[in-house]
Amino acid sequence: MSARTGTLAALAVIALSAAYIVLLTSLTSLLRAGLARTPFGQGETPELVLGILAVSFTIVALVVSTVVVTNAFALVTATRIREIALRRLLGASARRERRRIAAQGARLGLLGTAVGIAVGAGIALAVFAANAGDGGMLDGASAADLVDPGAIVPLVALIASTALAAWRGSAAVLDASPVQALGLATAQETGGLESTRLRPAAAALLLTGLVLLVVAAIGGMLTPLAVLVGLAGGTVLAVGILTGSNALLPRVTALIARALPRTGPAAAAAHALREHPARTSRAALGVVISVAIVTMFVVATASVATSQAIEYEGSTDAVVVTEIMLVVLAVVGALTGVIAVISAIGLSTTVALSTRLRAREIATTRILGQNRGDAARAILIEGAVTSAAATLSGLAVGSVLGWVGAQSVLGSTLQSQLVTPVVPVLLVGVIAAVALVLTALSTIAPMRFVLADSPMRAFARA
Amino acid sequence: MTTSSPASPFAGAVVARTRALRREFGTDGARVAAVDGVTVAFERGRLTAIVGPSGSGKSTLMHLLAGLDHPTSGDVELDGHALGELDERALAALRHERMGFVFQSFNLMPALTALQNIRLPEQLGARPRPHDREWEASLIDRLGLAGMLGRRPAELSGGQQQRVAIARALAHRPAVVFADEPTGNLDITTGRDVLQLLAELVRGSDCGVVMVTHDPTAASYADRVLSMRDGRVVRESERSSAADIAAAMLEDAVAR
Repeated sequence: MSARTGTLAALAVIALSAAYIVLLTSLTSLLRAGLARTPFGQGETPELVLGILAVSFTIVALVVSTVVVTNAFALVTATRIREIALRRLLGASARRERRRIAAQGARLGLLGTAVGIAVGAGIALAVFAANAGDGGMLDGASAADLVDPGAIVPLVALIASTALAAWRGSAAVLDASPVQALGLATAQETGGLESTRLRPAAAALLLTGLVLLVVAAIGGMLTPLAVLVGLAGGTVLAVGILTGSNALLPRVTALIARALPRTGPAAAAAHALREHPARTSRAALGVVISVAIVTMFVVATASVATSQAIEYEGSTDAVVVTEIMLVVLAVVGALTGVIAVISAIGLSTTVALSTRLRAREIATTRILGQNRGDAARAILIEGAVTSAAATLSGLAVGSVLGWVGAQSVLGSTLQSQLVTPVVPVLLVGVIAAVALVLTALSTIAPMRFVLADSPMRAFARA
Repeated sequence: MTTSSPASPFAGAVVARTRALRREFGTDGARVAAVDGVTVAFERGRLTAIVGPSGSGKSTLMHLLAGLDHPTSGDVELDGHALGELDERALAALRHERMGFVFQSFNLMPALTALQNIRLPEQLGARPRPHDREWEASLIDRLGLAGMLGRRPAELSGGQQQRVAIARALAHRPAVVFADEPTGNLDITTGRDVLQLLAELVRGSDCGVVMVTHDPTAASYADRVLSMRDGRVVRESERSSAADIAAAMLEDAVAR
């Protein structure tokens, strides 16, 4: 696990995000062009809906990739701390060292974006070539419709956010004292310095969001226009969760960690998570967002379909509901897929960073008599608890938003005035499987890194 | 296992021994024996110092004794166990139950309080196993840690941190404590105080201390001093003054 791991992770994330943005904007542009030639497309609504969807998913991709790149650069900085300390001992200033890493971030941003644009444009062209001329909606559209000048904005934002993420991630440079070059210390954590207090602004946003959602759910009994209140509420709540993530996510992880036995590995893992809330929340945030988006759409569709089935007794059955749900799951899953992959990279760099920074602690406990199996289990549990907390949070937030959305649009059309909330077992199953895969992927490399050496050699190298 | 007066039944009882111990490093072309045929015994209730210049093999010898490294040939026996017959898991369990460690850089967990650090080894097994609280209280009292149990390592001085580390090393009543340059990061006065405490705590008990150091002052607190050079034990003496040890070390170095 070298500095290269962090750099590669950052590069992959940037390229994925850029490809995603290009693909999203060009396919939206293509659809818009296609729609404009059909009777549907004469109104402004479909275009507006498409636009809103594209912009929201772009913003989500930007936020998630920034968070992940920040952690990747924290990993790069941690693995290079000795080299940085040596350069400082030889006379380089901390500012200069940090600027060097930020410049590397900007270069990576440019490179990754270029790669991403090429890949994204390639896939968009392939999709166009495969579907044009088959008599479908895309007939008459030209390849030029793929180009959306609007894509420039999120791409520039991506490069800028990468540089910013590199700058923030390299903050540890300031802690690298020249003395560290003499081998007296390494990248170590002081612990317990990050605040977990819920900031008033975040609390206010969360409260406002929740109140708006309740209003939307009740208002939905009277008019479909309540969905606008719901939209506002959902947005405010999401921003509140983002701002308050340092306070919120560690509490969820602590809650889950409490269910674990107080034994060596579990206690060590719970401890690592509790002491570094900022890192824990950065690890979990992307996963929370991905899971929440998928859950929201699926729960909304399932609730609507089920309520209508109840309303028009017998005319719709469970099979149809499942079919609709599967289609929604596939479409939203595809839209969220790239974001989920980025989140997975984020989770694994975070677990890697955490074990890297605790290398000496882990080696010390092994010298004191913890066996390899338990040391590995501690890392596995740390990853499992983080991904479980993230998926459960996403499931909860997504379910509430999905149901409120369905209720606010449809409540007034139903006799009962209440949409039956449905969280499909299928969805929970799919998401549990995703969490399992995430845990495995994110912990393999760090476990191998930690256990590769005898305790004494790990101690000397840490 | 009770703590006993200086006139202890354990005096002279061997807690660890090596037989023709050899540890080579390097590839076939250039093999160097860091430990070269060492046969030596360590006793309970005493503090044994291993001194020698850098590269003399003293640290390697300690790692071999603690089962943290495997010999090329020869045997180590510790508290009745032949280490060569134990696998990784059993060695970890033996370290957990029968050994204590004191490091040069203290190596306390930064996020844990002093008391949590002392109790850390309780958490390392498959299930938590609390140590003898009475013994723990007497350790805390004798090491003068009573007022600082709730503090984190960053809020403690070097001497205080090393005293916490000593409490951690002794809390489970180990058969042997390994101390690797325990005064290396302390000033002279603090280093003396810490060693005095460690020596008092084990002298006459059933626990032996093996201390690796190149500081003659530190070695002067030992009941017995082994001098190493080029992987061999070249001199063995009972308790000596810092000046005598320094003179002997200098003589060994010049004799090279």
